Amino acid sequence: MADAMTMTAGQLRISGLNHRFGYQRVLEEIELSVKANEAVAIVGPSGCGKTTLLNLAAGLLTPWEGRIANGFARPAMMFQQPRLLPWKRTLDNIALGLKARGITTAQRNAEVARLALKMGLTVEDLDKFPSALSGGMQSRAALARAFAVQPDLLLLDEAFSALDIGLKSELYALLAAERAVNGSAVLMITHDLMEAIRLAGRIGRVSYCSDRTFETIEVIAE
Amino acid sequence: MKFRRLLIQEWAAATGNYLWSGWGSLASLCIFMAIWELTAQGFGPLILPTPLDALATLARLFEAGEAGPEILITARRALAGFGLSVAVGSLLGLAAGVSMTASMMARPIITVLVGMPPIAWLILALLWFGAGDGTPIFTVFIACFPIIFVGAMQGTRTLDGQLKEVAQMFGLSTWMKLTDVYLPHVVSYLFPAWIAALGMSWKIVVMAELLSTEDGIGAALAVSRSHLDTAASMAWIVALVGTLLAIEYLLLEPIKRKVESWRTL
Repeated sequence: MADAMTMTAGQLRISGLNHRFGYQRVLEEIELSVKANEAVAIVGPSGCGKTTLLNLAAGLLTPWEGRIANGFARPAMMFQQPRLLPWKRTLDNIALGLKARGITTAQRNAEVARLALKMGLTVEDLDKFPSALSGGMQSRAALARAFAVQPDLLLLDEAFSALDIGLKSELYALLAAERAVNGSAVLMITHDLMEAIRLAGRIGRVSYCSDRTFETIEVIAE
Repeated sequence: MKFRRLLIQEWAAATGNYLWSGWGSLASLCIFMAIWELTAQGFGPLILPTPLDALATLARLFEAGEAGPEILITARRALAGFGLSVAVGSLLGLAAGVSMTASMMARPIITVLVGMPPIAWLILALLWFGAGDGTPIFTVFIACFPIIFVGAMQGTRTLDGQLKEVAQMFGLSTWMKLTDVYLPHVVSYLFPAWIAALGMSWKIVVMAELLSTEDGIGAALAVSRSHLDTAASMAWIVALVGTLLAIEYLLLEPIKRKVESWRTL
């Protein structure tokens, strides 16, 4: 079994995944794969463990049972909240992933400025602390932070759910444009079916959800 | 150009605010002096000399070359003990905060350390170190240590788990996690703890000197007490509090403002 499940480069494969928090079952028998360049959306009601699934895929949690083989080299995640570091200016927040890669200050500042302007942030915004930015600008900064590392897998955890419609469609367009450049695969979680249809090539629905547990994912659209 | 003008405006506003808050402190200081003056007039100079008397005595002590060296000796001891507990307390507190087990194990020990009266440590220190620098420095260190340790530990423990996930997701190295995520958060817990400990160190050092040494402000206070010289006692007290205020507001406060600038903007 283990031989058949070896890690494939540029692919995320989840098989036989079960997860629990204490005695609380959260995920049961999940099978899911995301190939390079592909966008997959998981839709389903809140409180069923969708975020847990994404955190497991990101490696932020260790699975209780089953296998997660992430063959993507540069995964990035956009969380439900912007989660910018409050003590860093927007510029340094966006540059966080680049700094972790050991890219020099001058290089990453130039890269961040280019990206941020493209995403509708101004030079003044880059010099502000996150608390001085509006919610929409914070989301743009969080998206820019994820794009900055040129991810080959982008994990989106209801990243747009708190935004108004105009801003949403603007960020959808930005996402599409960046994907076209980097060719990143996307695994996104949402409870908004229209968002899933608009952004994803393949949509999975949580097939059964009760007691805060979901079992298997049923593909409802290709 | 516009950007620069904005910066200058911001700076001017910040300085203006600071000066204005300075007037407030100055006013409350004047009220305090007035109450002191009134009380002194009511009770007479043997019980409480007036503020002017105390200041004049202090000026005389400075002129005679007595005050300067004693203040330096006391400050040296207090700062040595304080610096030692800042270094050891901050590091150990950070380490204890990172590990759940360590913080649970540290808790009862810290309770014991907080509960132990400084005078008891002083007695032990006298037995261990005798009369000299060791006794006041050790007593200051051991009294300040738990305050700083708890501050650092709480700071580390309360760091938002969400930000830790961000750090992990973007592959931050241990060093980057420490300098970009942990420390900026912990500092806002550490600074109040440092300032509380600094105040504590000044009280403890005088107590230790009073009982264990022949120089420093504490020893000078013991001498002036035995001469029933209330004016000199008040002068030494003013010198002591003045040094503490100078160190807190001229050294720690500007550092705090710089480090915590993200809070005010």
